[in-house]
Amino acid sequence: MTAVEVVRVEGLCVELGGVKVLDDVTLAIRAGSFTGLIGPNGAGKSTLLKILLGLIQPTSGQVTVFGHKPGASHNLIGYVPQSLSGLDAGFPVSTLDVVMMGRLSPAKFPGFFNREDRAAAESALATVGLASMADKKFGALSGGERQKALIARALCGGPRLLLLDEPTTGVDVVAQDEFYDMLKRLREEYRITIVLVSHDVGVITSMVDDLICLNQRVFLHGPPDEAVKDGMIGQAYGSSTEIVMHGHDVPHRHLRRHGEGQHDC
Amino acid sequence: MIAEMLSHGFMQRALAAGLLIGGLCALVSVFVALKRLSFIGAGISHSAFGGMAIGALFGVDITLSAAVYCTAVALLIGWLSRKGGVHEDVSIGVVFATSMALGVAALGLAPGYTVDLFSYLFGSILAVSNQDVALAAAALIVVSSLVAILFKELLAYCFDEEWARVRGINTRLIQDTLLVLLALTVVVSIKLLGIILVSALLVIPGAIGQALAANYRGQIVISILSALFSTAAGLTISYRWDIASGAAIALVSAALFAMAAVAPSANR
Repeated sequence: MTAVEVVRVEGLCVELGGVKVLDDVTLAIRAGSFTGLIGPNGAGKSTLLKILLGLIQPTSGQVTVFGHKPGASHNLIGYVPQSLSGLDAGFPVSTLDVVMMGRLSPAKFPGFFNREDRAAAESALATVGLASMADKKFGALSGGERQKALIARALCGGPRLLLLDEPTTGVDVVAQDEFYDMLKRLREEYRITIVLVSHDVGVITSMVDDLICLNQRVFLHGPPDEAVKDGMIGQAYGSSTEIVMHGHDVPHRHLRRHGEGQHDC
Repeated sequence: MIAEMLSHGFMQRALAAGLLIGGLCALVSVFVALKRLSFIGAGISHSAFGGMAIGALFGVDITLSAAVYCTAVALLIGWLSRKGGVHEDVSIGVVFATSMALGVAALGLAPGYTVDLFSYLFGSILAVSNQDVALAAAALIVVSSLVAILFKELLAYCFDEEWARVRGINTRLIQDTLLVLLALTVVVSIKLLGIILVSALLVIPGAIGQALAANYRGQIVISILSALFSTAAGLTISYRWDIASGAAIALVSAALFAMAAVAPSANR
């Protein structure tokens, strides 16, 4: 039986400022799965997440998220952005204020947050272990705490799909371990579909059900044990590559060696 | 001196308008500080000169022509910033300079129009009419109501615009609304504060609030109190020493900012 697909991408091409960032990407993400998205810098990993969020428009190709156009299912998606540096540490908001922004929705526009929104934000903070930090200024939190608060923000809208973009960048090792434990727990407790963009190949291959290796194209899409066994991860980053693509529910493989011409996908 | 000062009708009007405008500018300046819109504020306020001069040239009420012109400039700046391609500070700089040049050209062409340029540039307590007080009151009601009902979206837009978009918020609408509120605030403040000096109250109160408060609620309160004090004290100085009201208010405001910048605060 085929599991329900939460995300379906077919033949996606994205050009940003005349530069091709993603080329003929086809993949699917099953409901309830934990997918690791890896690839070298500039591979288009963040761009792919932004496509799924509806923040960037595809140049060509089909993308559906929960069966709809990207951006139409914002209530079902939680997002944890790549970098904390984009957020102003001097911004005068409490941690609870930031988490409550996870309750924003066109349905509540315009108007005020209510008691229910506040309770959801408090509960999300408790889930990530930051209940005692609710009133603390967001900018005064440590890097790891801020990252957890942003996860709480993503959780408090009650998402069915969580997209995390290199969430452990700039976070110390202890906080990273805590973070991965928390992801496992969230997955078990809430049955959320998770897509995690990471450079931490070793850690995520031990955690995920599926691994997608991206470098403009999809170089690998399958269970991580296969990838590790065949040494394909290294190949995708390097010169010779093996491509595993989902066709129509039937995965198939295509082997390509460096220097070969156009491949078939 | 205070009683004597308040016995004059023009001073009563200036003070009433000043306090209303102070509250108005303080509220908008909170978002100017949060979203770092100081240069946009200066750009829109200088553009008002072009709008007023065009009104004078065609015999239209200059407040009305400034309102239309500044709203158009605000929307143009918003559109240019979203379109990308040209850096925002460049597009603001171009719009700013063009509007000032247009203003000078239009005034030169206006037949026999002798406007008191100095008081429009730097503000005058004598220029405030009853109609201006009513206009400031109406603007305060409109701006504070809109800020209240859009507050959570405005705050999210200023803090993390991408996140607001992820949550399905129309950030284009939020940005345009904020810029238009900024433009209308500029227009009603010009007579008292002057085209050049209105940006002082659009920038400084919110910055004082942010320097002293750890939370936006405190920032709003401090911003409003500092703007009210600056306008009341500034108008008194303007009356006593015959200094342009915009300059007196800006100087008091700047002095408060200097004190806030060195004061121990909850935000550091």
